[in-house]
Amino acid sequence: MPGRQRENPRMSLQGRALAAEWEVRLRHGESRKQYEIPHPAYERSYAPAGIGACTFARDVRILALLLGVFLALAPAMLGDEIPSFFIESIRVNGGSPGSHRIVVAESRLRAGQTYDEARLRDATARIQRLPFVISADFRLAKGSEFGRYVLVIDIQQMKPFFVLAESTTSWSVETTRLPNPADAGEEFVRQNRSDKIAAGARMFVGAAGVLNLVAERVEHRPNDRYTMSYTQYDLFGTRASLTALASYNENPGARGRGAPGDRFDWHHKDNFTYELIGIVPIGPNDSIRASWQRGYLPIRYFRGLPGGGVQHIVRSLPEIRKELYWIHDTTDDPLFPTGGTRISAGMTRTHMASAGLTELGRQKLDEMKLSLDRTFRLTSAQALTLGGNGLDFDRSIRKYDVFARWSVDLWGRERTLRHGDLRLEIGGDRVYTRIQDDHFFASSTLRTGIVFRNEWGVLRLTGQYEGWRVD
Amino acid sequence: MLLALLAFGAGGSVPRPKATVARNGALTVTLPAALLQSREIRQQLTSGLTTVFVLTVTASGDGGTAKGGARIDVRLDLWEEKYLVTVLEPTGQERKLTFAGEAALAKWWSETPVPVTAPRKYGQTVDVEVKLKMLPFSSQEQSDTQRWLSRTLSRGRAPSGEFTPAQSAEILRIIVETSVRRRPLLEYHWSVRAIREAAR
Repeated sequence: MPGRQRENPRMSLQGRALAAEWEVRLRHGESRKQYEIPHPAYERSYAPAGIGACTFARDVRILALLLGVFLALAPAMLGDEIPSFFIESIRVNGGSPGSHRIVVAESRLRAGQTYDEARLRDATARIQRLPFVISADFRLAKGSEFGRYVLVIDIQQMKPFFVLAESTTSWSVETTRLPNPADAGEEFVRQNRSDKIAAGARMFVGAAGVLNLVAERVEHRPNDRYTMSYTQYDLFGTRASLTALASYNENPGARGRGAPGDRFDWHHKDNFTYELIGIVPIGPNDSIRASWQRGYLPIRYFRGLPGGGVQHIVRSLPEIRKELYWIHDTTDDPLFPTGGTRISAGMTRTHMASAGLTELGRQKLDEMKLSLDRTFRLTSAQALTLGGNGLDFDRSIRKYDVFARWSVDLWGRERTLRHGDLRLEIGGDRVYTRIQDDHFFASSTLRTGIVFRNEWGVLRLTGQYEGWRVD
Repeated sequence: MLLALLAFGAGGSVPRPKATVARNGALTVTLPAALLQSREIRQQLTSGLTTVFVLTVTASGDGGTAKGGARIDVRLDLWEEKYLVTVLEPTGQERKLTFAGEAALAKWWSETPVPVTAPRKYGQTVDVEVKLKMLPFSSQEQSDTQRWLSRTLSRGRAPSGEFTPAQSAEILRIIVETSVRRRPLLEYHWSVRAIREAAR
């Protein structure tokens, strides 16, 4: 009797780039301006909205937990040296010629160096995290003389056009408050449904450049966003990358000219946001990410008029946002990781205008953040990701969360190879939030979703329940 | 391209391995040669990078249930044109072998029983669930394993020179758990009945 085969699907299949982009964008904090276009450079954030009560002691315990996780992960970052190979040249097969130099740059390998297999494995993971790469495979070939090797990288690349779509439906239990307390009760209600869709195109430009164009419909009309970005990889041969980005948001919150006599100082040019993002590798799996973003905020206040009365003023005033993050990443897949660790730590500083009723001023906000997650393979089809985040927002808001996400391949390797990935994800988180010296609030969210991705894009359908609040 | 080859190769059938209870009471598994002849495995083996085969077994029968496993690392030295093989057994023993070519590797693969459990008392009938995973090229876990083994073996062996059950279990855990963190290219699953090695 022949043996039963249960080959594992190659998870590196299609839509990897778009998946990463979409995932990153969706996970960005709610309080932030969202002018980003998809880019793998963005750190992931798993901080959902939610509040719930604890004590200071719990705050300390959570910090200790995060530190413990960090220390536990640290040994995983150390590598070994066997066996190793002198790589005299690197060759890329497959994909478009325009992507080859990018692939080599992102491998962070250089011809003329000796690398062990752990370094080569890390390089594979890095290439597989590139937005346009579906899969990457390494092999060696004989070099020009004994003991030298040619590293051959076979890649599969995504389509130049892509679509991303997501629908999320939220439920929660609400307490009904009625004049007669005896009539009060709890009711399971659907809070909202959030639909998002984006379409885009990607072109390789020059030796190591990528041009992205993305149109997004966010939440509800009219709030579309159009983004163009250009990324230059392997900047000056340093393996670093620089992304320049311009984004037009149809409704940044300054609609309506107001009553006659109001001052409305907002124009279409103020709907644009510009950003520069630089990534500098500092190790095989570590990099420094720095970004500078300039946008405009609609600032509203009132001015007293000489003859009495007030004038409503809307002005566009600049907001400058600067970020500096250290990122350690060994995950093997941006959307469906089956192994690896991701740690990011850094700070964001925002300079922006502020307004009281009749006064205008400026303010500086500092945000510090630490994120840790690690993915474990449970079986050939299942993976479990555990992690946590810590956030300090301008020393006034502290938020910590822990999360777990289990995912399973729904249709096996054969169909995955033929049609794309189809996975079920079930996850949950617990979020603790503390505002200034108040006590902690806590809440949890339980999510389940189905995700499909192929070389054309990603579709995600999610249902979530928000509850278990502790006020 | 490799994905396409994997897809093509995945549909084929592979003969079952052979499970044997050796005279010393250890359970051994002999793997079918056809495995090495499949296109996807050949392609991986000739990549010049280490291919890891993780073998795990669950033996059940009159004598209870036993779990075990072994790990076989194979790498083709492209310049020497030799296959370098490392076998890690559940007793913690590590064997390094060298084969002059594909034929020699296939001969060893299909004719050499690989111990997958330490010697123990088995019942008359032993049904064995065999799982084999082929993993892409090696990573740091391998050397972690080797480091751990060398440390453990140097200080923890019982006075008799044998492994304690706890040590064997720990070795098995390392063989299996450190390996499954990596993404397998292929995974096979068989159910076989062990035969007993003939007495001399």
